[in-house]
Amino acid sequence: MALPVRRASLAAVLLLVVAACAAPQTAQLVTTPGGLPRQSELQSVPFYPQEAYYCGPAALATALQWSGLDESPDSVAPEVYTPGREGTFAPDIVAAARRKGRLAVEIRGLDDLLAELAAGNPVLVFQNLALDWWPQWHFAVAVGYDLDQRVIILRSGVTERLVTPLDAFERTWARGDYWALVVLPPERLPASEDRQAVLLAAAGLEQAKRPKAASAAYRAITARWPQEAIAWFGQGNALFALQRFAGAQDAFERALALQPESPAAWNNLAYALSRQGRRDEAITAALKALALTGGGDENYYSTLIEVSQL
Amino acid sequence: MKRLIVLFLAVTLGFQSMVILPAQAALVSTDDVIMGEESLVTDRERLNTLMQREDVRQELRRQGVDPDEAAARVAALSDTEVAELTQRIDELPAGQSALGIVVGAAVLIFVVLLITDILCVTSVFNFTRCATN
Repeated sequence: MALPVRRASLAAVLLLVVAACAAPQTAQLVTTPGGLPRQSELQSVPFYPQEAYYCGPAALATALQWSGLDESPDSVAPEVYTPGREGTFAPDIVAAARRKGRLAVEIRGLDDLLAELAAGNPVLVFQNLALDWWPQWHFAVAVGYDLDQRVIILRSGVTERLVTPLDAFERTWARGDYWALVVLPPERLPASEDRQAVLLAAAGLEQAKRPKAASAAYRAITARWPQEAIAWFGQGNALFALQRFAGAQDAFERALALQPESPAAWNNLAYALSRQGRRDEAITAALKALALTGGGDENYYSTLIEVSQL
Repeated sequence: MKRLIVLFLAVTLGFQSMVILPAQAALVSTDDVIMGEESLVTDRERLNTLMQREDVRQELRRQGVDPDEAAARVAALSDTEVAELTQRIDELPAGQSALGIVVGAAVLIFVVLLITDILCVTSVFNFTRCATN
């Protein structure tokens, strides 16, 4: 009776092999793609063959060039490359995209990644091509996919159009902790409905001292989500940084119309009014911020004193 | 005499306004509001202080990155992201490979912690050897 046992174990081995080949998100997407088209490919995304360890600069330059900036791997390398490590760190890519005035939004799931491609946005991806304990990190740019053929199409390394099985890609991407990024002109929003990720990307432009780009991004965000108070608040901050105080006031007031209990918005409104020489209104706004925090907030108290001294 | 009074007033008033002038009055950043107005500046401040140290700057140069360029890279990250990065490094399990730790952490934070490790200030990376031990 040895034979059936052997057969059973053979079947078990086969099952294991099959299970190892299919990646979970891919399997899900191929059977139920939701609203995704079966295939999509962006032909117009440029290609920079990677030289030496320059996959990070090459991928970033590809995304930036597509977004309308004239950049090359050599021109972006000083901002992302770390010679001592012979590589590029993912957060440096985010920072560099922002310093170029681009909206850099992180993408997490495979369905969202493919949705960006279908919407016409190339996606920068971070992969570990080898193993967890022997990693080989790599940046590439996804430009297309085909669910029927179960493949993804990448600008990768020295290959302009690398067609890779989607299951294999998912696993290498998973080993890179599912890190992916769309790099967009600031007035163009990603397909992703992850509102927090989009808001953080716009706030990142403020942080990088690109208020003009931030303002453009907030304009797009308030057009898509008019009820999002934080977007109006951010618009206020961006316009304030651009010294457009009347516009900033208007934006803070819109934030307050949606969220009257926001002390931060009252505080910033006080500054926008103060800069226009409207001292009394500024004091009222600053008092409101203070009252909403129970009067104990040091920052808001300082604001009150500052706008009173005008 | 009149001049003296004016001088006196100017000095005292000037002094007073210096005392009253808010040390930290500021616009609240959008990033803070997104994250619920929590103050996340401390991570950044700590990092900036570490960055001023000559040993840290030297290590950055050894890695081939100009310290000012490294500062510019980190400046473009939000407070939240800086906090997340420093946190992630804290959470890393011991015994992980060097490259595994490197991934996802901004170069500056990595290098800073690497150096502070060597100087026995922190012990994030268990493969670094403490110089004083």
